[in-house]
Amino acid sequence: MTVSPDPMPAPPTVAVIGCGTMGIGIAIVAARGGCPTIIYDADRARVSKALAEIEMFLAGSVKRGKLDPQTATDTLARFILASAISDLASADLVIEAIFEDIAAKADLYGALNRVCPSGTVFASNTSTLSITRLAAASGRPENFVGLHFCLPAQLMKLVEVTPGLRTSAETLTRSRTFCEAVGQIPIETKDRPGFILNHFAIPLNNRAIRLVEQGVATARDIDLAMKTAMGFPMGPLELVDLVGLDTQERLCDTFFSITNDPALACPPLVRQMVAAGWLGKKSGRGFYEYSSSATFGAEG
Amino acid sequence: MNSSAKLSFLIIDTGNSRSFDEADPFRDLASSGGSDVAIILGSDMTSGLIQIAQASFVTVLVELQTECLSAHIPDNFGREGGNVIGFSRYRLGNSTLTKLVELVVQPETDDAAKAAAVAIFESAGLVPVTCRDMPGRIVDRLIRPYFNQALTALDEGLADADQLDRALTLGLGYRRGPIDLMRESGLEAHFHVTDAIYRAIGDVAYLPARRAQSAIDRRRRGEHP
Repeated sequence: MTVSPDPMPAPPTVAVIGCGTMGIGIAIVAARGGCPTIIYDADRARVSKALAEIEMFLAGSVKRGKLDPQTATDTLARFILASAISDLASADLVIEAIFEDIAAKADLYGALNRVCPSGTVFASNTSTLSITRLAAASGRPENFVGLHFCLPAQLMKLVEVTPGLRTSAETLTRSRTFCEAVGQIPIETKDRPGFILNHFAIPLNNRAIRLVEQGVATARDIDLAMKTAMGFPMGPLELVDLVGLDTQERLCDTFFSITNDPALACPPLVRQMVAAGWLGKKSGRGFYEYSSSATFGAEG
Repeated sequence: MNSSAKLSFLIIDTGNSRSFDEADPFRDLASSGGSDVAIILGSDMTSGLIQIAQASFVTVLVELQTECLSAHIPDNFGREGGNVIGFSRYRLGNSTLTKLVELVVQPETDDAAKAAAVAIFESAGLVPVTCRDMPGRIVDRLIRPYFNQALTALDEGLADADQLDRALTLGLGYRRGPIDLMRESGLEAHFHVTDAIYRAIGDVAYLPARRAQSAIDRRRRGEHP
């Protein structure tokens, strides 16, 4: 039986699962917003590595005058490192940010459902999968919601808040309230592949990749053109490098399998780059070469 | 714009340039004769005019509208090239001109001609990028399907116009949302650009969205677009 969530304490205890680029960003948002924040990854080594990256990001923020030293210290003190799923039992809100594989996510929710109190809200940071389908796998569809943060989450304010067919109004309200409390801007979207952002961003990025593939223009000229003409803060190929070529490949495969839209099919160049180990910024080479793979905003 | 650097190029104006209007300070940089570079501006471009310029100047820059450079140069089955380079300064519809200049080159375009084109536009404070001679060049090739998607998203109720623009500006850091941009630049202009690309490459992503087609229908009936 699904139990309606209790009123979320202020601040709620937040658990973030997955210590990749997105998970780290979301964890920073939650902790900086005053929430005790549990971080967990199936690969335990990634948890301590994540904390080191978070520390570096906060130090960078202080250095640039974006954060005062005491707030950085307080934020860092709010992190709790989990070594097992059972360590997440005290969370009021669990935000899952693992790779886009519905079977893997379903397994995870099954494990969480056995550990967390029935009132705990489960949220997925998925950008392509159906919230209703994930909610069905969670065992608590009324307490399930999509919370899609934007990359880099620690700097971007938007959160796409997506109810599934069975998400309760209370869960939706609590999710929006959480977002606002930690300084984010929630926008409600429909449970459709890609919601709003990826519905637009993935095809646009794929088209940019295909222009490189077809030799129409270089990555540098494509990015420069879009920044100069359209005022984009970064070019589409710079963005793909930041997201990661492997992530782009997974997004395309997931998205295409749901929609059969050829604009979303993974460009062969992406598969070649992934095979070559050119994963973007995190591997030091993608469409561009990089000297640092530090978390966005942590440099300098 | 740095007016102290007198650039050695000549302007041949056929009228109604979209890249440099009559008052554009770029025109002040042109010389009145004795130049190696000719820039042919305007919408009344003819192949004959280009051929004459090609024989008289080391480098010829030809302003393009939605057409490819190959519309003016004979086809040579992938070995086109020489001293003629296409260009278009980017603007959405009749919105404000941007600093972007898309340079259109062919497989065997002279390197010296490319270098001259880049130097001329950079000296004028503009931002040249180079692309192959393909429909839509770079920006329209990327941005027009995005606009089509935004128009279709409205039809399908994905979000309302304000939500769409807000999500895309906040989430992707875009300066302006697609609906906001189309309000300013016009559905008719969107139709004309997408229709030209769609006819050239047949990709349905460029098939003008319903709202753009309706704007053209209204115009044809003499109603407000």
